[in-house]
Amino acid sequence: MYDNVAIDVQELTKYYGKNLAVDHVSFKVYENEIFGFLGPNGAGKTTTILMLATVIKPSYGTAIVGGYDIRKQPEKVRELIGIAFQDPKVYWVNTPWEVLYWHAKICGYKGEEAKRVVKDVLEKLELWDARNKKAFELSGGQRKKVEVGKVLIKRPKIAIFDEPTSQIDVAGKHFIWSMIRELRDSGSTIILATNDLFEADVLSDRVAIIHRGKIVTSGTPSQLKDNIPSGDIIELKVENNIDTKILDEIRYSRNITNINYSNRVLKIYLNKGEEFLPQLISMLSSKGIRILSATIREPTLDDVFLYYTGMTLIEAEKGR
Amino acid sequence: MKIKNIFLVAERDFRLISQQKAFIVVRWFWYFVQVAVFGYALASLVSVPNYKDYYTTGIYIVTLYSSSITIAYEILEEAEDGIVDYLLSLPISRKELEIGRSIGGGLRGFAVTLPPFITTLYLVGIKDPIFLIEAGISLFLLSFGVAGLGITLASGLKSGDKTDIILGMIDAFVARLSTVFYPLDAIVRSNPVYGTLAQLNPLTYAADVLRAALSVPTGISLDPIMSIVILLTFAIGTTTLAVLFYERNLEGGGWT
Repeated sequence: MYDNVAIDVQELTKYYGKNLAVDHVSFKVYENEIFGFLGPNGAGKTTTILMLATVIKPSYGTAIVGGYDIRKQPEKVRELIGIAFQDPKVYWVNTPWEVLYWHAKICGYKGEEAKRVVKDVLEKLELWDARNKKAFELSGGQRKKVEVGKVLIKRPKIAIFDEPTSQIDVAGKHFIWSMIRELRDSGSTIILATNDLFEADVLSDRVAIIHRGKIVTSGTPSQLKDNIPSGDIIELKVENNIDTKILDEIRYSRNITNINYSNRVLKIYLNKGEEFLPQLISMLSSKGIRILSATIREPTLDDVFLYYTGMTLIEAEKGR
Repeated sequence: MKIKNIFLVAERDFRLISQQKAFIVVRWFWYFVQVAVFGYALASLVSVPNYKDYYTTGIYIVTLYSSSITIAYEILEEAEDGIVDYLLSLPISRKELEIGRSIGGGLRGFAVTLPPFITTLYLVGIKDPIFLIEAGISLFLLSFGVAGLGITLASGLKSGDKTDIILGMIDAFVARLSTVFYPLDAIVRSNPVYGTLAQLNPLTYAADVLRAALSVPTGISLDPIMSIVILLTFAIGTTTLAVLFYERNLEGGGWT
């Protein structure tokens, strides 16, 4: 799978005035893979993909997309790329049919062929019955599908999805995921920008984690999880607050890689967690800490994010 | 450059008429009140012969200008809604995109003022239909050029507030320093600088070509062919500027 590079991002950087949004980002996306771009809101995901789509110009660095330089051959790049934006880009008075039919024509389809492709996509997206409704009459999920429909119409060599399932119900999410997988299976390379850990985990062949404009790590989801230098995570929910003195005591009681404590949830990253758990419970109980629940689990991408950034994705979203 | 892409972009911009219903009705209402109340009242005060016709043609030009310049506000709204990003991601060149937008915006500006235009023709009277073609060309060129100006300002300033201020200032001068309300010789008499500025104003040429087509006396007469050449230069000039600003500025992000 990883023979041919579809996108080679080299030191891509973007300043908005004095504000550094993307900081010398470099990564490669291989042909025919779903490349997850995971990070909290404001991490620089959208700015990066807008630069790749030649919508905005980089301040520094470049990217080679399908063999074309985004700075020198932006029109060639746009021919290869299709993008589904985070917020549907439609006028409120436009109908799905009008939006997609115009999009099909601007992508090079002619007359009857354009009508046929739009009909196919509307049927596939279960939007056929709503094709003549104005955008303001559609649900959020339906509008999102119209945005995804633009990519399905073009069937580009490189497809970019920016948070394609945000604010969508579970059934809608699975539906859009199956569309994205189908697109990958039919030969497209996919960039999936998301702040949904589960989405990144189940959909991506490889993931890059971006935080504050920088890529902190990348790899397959299982590689990222395996690379955390501790195999287990003990997660305890406690009734009363644990003070820093007790946390330090835990930290130094055994070879623990990392401890995170917030909102009365204690996460301990370590090896052989099953051996340490009874000792930990007895230690906390002796100090009057009542434990509400205790689990040992494998790391998730959130743990990977925490390991590299010092905060969970939710904490990063809150700007902590 | 692909003509097909320019046509598609222009067609899309033209279709935006459907979301301007309220604005269009207000514009028509404004035109009719200006003609029926203000124009008639002024005509009774002013000693210029046929001033009612003079004013009716002039106020139509102002209506055309204000309808075409609205593309500036649409671009700002599109930037806010992210539609500019969508347009910039399409597999077409920036030139095709911008020229299509200017043509579409210009045609739309002209189309939405058709009822006032027909009313103007009815009130003033058509003396020679051949000259109307000449007038039609000049009106479209004005509309096209003003749309280009709107795009240049919106994409150059990238700010709703700044665009409001600049357009407000242009609005204050554009009709007053032209032959829309008074003939060129009257402006020159009042202040030669105003006269020079009025001769640089595309509204002067569009208004006087329309008046020439409808045989409305204008005092100092401008050569209609030269007027069309000047309007063509204005349209090409603003569209070229719009292409440059669209290419350089829109891709930088940073809208306020």
